[in-house]
Amino acid sequence: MFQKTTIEKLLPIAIIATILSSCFKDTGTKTYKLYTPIYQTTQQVRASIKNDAPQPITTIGKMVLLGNYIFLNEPQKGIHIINNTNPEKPINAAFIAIPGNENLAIKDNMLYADCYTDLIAIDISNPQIVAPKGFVNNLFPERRYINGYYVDSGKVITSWSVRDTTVSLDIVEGQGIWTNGSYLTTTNYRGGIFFASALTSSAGVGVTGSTSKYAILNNYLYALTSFQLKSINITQADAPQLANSISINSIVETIFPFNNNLFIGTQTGMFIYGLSNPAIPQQLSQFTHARNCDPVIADGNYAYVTLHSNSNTTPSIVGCVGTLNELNIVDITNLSQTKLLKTYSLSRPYGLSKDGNLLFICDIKDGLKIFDATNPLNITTKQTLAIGETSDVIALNGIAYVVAKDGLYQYSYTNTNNVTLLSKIALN
Amino acid sequence: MMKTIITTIFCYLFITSIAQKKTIHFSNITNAALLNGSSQSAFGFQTINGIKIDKWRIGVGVGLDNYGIKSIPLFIDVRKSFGNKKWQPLVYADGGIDYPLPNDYFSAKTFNGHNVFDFKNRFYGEAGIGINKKITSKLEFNVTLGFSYKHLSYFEYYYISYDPYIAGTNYTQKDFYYRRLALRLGVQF
Repeated sequence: MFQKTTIEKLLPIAIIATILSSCFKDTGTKTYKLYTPIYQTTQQVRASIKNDAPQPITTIGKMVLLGNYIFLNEPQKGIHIINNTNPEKPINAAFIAIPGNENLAIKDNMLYADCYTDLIAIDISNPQIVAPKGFVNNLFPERRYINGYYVDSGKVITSWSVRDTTVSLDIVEGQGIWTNGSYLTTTNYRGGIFFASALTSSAGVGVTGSTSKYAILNNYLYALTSFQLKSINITQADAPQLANSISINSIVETIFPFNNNLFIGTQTGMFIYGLSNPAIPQQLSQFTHARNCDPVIADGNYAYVTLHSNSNTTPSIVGCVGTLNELNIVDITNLSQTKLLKTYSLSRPYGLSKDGNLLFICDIKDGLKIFDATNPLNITTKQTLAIGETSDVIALNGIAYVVAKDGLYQYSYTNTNNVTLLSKIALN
Repeated sequence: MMKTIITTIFCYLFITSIAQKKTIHFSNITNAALLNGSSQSAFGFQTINGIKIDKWRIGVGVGLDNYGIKSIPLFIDVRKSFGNKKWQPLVYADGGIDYPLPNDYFSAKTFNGHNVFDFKNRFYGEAGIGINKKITSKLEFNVTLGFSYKHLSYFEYYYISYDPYIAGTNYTQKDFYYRRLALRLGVQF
């Protein structure tokens, strides 16, 4: 009796539910900043490249040391010139506005920097009065695509207008929505940015680092694009000329000059190129490893390769792939037959530098780690500087220049048992 | 505005009842739900504890809502039944906050270490009608049908490294407004 009555009573509710459910609609909105490019002609941009008043440093990209100066790239904006005559009191001295700048290298008084697709040679003989001198047009053609925009030849994006925009979002797969407790699609993950580090310097050549994409050896500047090694003749410093382009079968990331050879870090291994003909580098060997990001430096008979993953992300997010976080010691006694000798586990290593027997590694999570590498097959930890996320280090003449998430640190390691902080340039 | 009006009416009626000095009893309502909307169907669960005064019940509810993202709604529930027959119609209204439940994605990081997702706690509400039926002297069976609303809002962060003047952490804000038909079956005492 109860069951029959209950069913009779509930039936209208079930019918109403079925009818009404089709009337209810889920809706969504997406609010984001819409960036619209503001263009200038290439001529206008080049005319505006000059020394400006010092600007607040908000992000640090690549770093080059030359004499008493530190040249800090502010990604996409230009280069800060830091007067480091007194490392305990560095002075932000000037700024060179270069739209689209990501990389730089210096030889003598000439600074080579990218301006989107072009390479520009800038005279810095007087860092207070700089001026562009020469250009290599369209050296980096892949950079004509920016944030979904194709930049026509002869134009440069110099800034973006920004406005908040809200659009409706259909609740369908592909919009990055949640359903049944799971996320369907991610649409906005993009690669991050990491920085450079350095080792040695020949006379007049600025010290670049283990993650630099530029290297200068003798009269050639070697520059990496995504899949190419380009050699640029800078015999006439103010008139650089493209000499050759070599395709590399991997995503290339870093370049490190050592003993008239180029050590190139890619996502699948370390490539070594000889420079018997400096205009046309010849591949000598390839040390293959699992797919990872990997800066490389070399010293003596050893190459030091750090592999780092993006493994702290769940799920995996575009950037570095792979799961390895380690330091590889590679025998380069015979450059044509390299051999892995030993592997050390690290948290998440990136930029590295070596000075004498000291090996400095930015272990992104843990800070800067300093190792005694007297015997590369038995490296021991000397000290860890827990200064937050670090990405790059240059160890040179008793000072470690460390790029961290919150600024540029300078440490004295003159006394290797007592590394002391000299100064910090905080980001604004 | 509608939420405010409904809440005000229920509060007025409830206070009026209390003013008549009726006997107060502990009240528990526990139910399972089928949440049916335009993009999916999902199950839910609620338990509401509070007081019962005559035909009125008011309590604090907590539940599990698996529509869209799995979440925990925390809300105030006010309901009134009518008549003295075996089958008693009722009306009810809920209002509160919806808390997205942590999941694997909460720990996701952008390439520069920023959390990818930043979930916000947003409004949760439901209102509807139903019926009670006595099973024993103290236990009642109930079924309700209501309009259930859940707002999911989060910031999705990403990193831009290559555009002039915009390098750095950026985000998109996404808001989803789930409007479901909630069919709930449960017991109460």
